Amino acid sequence: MKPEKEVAEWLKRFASAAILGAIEFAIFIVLFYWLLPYVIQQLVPGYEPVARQGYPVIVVSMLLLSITARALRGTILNPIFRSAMILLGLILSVSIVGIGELKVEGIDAGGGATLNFYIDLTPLYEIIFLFMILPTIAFIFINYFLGEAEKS
Amino acid sequence: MARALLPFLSTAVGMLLLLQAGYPLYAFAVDSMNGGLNVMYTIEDNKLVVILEYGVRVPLKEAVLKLTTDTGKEWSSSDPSLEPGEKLVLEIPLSELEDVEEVTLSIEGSIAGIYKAGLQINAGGIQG
Repeated sequence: MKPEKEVAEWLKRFASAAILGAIEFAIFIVLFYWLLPYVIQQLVPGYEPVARQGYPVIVVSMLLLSITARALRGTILNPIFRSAMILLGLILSVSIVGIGELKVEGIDAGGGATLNFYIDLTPLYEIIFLFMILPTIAFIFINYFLGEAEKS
Repeated sequence: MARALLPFLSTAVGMLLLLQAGYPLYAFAVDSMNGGLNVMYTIEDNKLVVILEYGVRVPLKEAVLKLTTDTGKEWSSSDPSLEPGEKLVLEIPLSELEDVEEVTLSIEGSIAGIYKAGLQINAGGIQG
């Protein structure tokens, strides 16, 4: 393939990946910045959703990784970027809910009394990481290498 | 075949574990919001008796009921496994509560032995 044609091909791949990435980003914003904080607020009175404070570095990094991974489909960089994106997703979820502990403070219990409570959610994170995130990452790599083996 | 089943299997195992681990959390949240954690107090024989009636369907392991005052005094009562329908009781001599203006009642434990949790009630402006 001529270099100009190859460059045009890569540009086309990145452009289509960027369009799909923008759609994904819009869905992500609706889900994590609007719908999820709203649902948590309804379930836990007094819970101040930190999601709206934003985690711009993590969110933009995930968007860029998603676009790059999609554009680099078929190369070894694709599973690496996808895995990094999944791990960043976990970090984002932990940042939104709280690292380890879910704390709710200063609920008015009536009669001048205030109520605080906390729950350590670490066991849930461990299950999600060990039985959902890690197998998914392993599967991404297994799938890639099996695909490469089939090609050759 | 195995390649197609792998993601479904890992997700299914993960979901089953999440359901199993999530149930105590769900039960505790629902039951405690519906009066499962009932704190009452009475005065008997010159003693303030604080009673925690535990009505949550999952046990609270290493349960501790503690009352601290702004004067620095502390009383606690514990149970290695507080089962549904059981009570934790604290008895505090009224003479020990003179000059107290603010008390903090805390309930701590591990929900079904999985999730460490704590609840704290601060009450101020106590007179007499």
